[in-house]
Amino acid sequence: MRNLLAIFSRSPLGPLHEMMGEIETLMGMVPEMLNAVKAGDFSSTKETAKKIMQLEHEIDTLKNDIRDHLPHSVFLPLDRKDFLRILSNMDDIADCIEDIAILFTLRTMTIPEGFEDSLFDVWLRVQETFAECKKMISGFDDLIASGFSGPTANAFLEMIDSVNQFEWETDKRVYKASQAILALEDSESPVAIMMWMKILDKMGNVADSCESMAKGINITITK
Amino acid sequence: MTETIILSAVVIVGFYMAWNIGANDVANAMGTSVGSKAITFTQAVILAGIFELLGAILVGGNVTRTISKGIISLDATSDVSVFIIGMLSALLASAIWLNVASRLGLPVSTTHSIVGAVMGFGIVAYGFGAVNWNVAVAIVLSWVISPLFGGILSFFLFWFLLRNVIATENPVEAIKKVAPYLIFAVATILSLSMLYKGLKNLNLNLPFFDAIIISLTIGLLAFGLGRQSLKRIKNNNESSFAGRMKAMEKVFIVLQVITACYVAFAHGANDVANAVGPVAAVYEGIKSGQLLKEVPVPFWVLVMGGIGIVVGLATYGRHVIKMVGENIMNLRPSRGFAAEFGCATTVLVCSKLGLPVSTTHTLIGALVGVGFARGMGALNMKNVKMIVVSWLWTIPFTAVLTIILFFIAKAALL
Repeated sequence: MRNLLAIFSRSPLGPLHEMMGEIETLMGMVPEMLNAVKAGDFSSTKETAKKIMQLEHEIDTLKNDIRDHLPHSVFLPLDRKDFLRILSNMDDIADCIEDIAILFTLRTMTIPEGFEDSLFDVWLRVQETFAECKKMISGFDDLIASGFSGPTANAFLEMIDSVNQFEWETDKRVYKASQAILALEDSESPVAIMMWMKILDKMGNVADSCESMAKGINITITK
Repeated sequence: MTETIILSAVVIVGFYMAWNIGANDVANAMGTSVGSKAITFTQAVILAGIFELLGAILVGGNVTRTISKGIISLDATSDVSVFIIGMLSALLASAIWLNVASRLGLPVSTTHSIVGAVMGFGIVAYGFGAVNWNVAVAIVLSWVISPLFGGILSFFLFWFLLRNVIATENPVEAIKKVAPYLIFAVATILSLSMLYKGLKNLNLNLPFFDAIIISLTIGLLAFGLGRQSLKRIKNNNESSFAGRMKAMEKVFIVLQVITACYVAFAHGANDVANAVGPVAAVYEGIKSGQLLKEVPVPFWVLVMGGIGIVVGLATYGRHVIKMVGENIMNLRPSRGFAAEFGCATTVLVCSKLGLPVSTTHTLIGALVGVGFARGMGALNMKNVKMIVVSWLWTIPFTAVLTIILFFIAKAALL
């Protein structure tokens, strides 16, 4: 009887949900940090950045755990390569957030006047993009239950479309925000402008990783 | 006097083997249904008991005949007392091996053990020529083919369900339409296997044509009954698709009880022989002093094996079913249904052909088949491989153990 049970492997999806939940928490810490920067509270900024780095490390451990429990002998309803791609995209999201946190600790940043709205707007779009990805991972069990086809698959294709849409919106906001910060080149120090450009770039990367993740999910459906 | 002792010994060991089979293997069939809470333990034990017994008594004769006289062919000059001792050794060796293997946690099959054992003593007692190699090769081939065939059958059934039920706008309505045909198939195959050459023991031998007509009638009756009872299932018009999928799986939970009975029947038909094949051989050898190919398997032997399986199920199977039920949660009822259908059909066809196959192996093949149709969460292929090749070391081991026991018994008794 043990025979029969032995062929069922631990599904990697449970830990994947857990990892996505932690990344969501990580995403939520960014506005916290931005608000601390806005308030000019450098110690609080550093505090939040430290929390972000800690959580990112935990997510990294979780990722390694998931990957290590996925030997070649485990047969999944989706291609191993596609699964690992989704996992790696999730990891990229966490990495980018950590990079943003590090950038804020390198130097005391103050948000220039007139830039605040553009900055928060960028992050809002990034969060929207991510939320759509989170929805897909939460519903991934349903996708498997439906055999990657039918109405569930169609709903997923729609969500993938919105991720692409949100990512495009994010890019536009990053472009605008970059213009806004570069317009201040006479009043702001070049170092500050360089830092803000880097931060904007990393925020854009979060959305890019979300889009790449959506592409990975798309492949599992169209296969 | 010696003969009575030998017969008692073989009956006791045979019953013990049957008990073992009932205790361990029957959970293959019922574990999933209990796990999905479609039926309670007690109901599972009763249902499995009925269908195991029916399978053993009505269809079990074919495979029993293969094991008792198909593998080793004797001529008139052969020494029957050697054959009797050999069969006793074979049964004892299998029983010991199964106990050792389960202690060590090795995946082994009762079928493979007994076939290896019988071949082992046949070779030392009568030489290579005595083994009916046509039968032996057919059996070994069936061990490769049965998981494969079960897998292919389940793959296509699941693929069909995916297309026509699972991935449709309204899966509950779809399954209500499709299910009666599936019930029809199960009922027809089951009754055909019972009626055609199955009722010999009850002196009711129906010709093939009659058997088909009656089976189709029973199938149609089941079709109508199934459709009526399915109609009563309300479609709550769940707004979310996920909700509708859940409602559909609930219908599959009920259908799975039917395939579970189907598996229990096929299991009884195939695996009872592992316990009673040697018993039949010894009894016949003692009674007539020779072995005749044409003699049917004694009815009481099959009944004894069937009862042994049911007793095993009732005393120990409960525990195994519970364990399987609790650990098999990631098997959705629609998947379990497809796998069990493919498995039971394959095993039943093999039983009718007199081929002793492993029910567990066939079920694993069927589950992998569903996996290839993208139906499974995660399968451990390393363990699948290990289980599949387990018969490579089961056969030599039981063969050698049988030979040792055979020489000991021969020295002691002859």
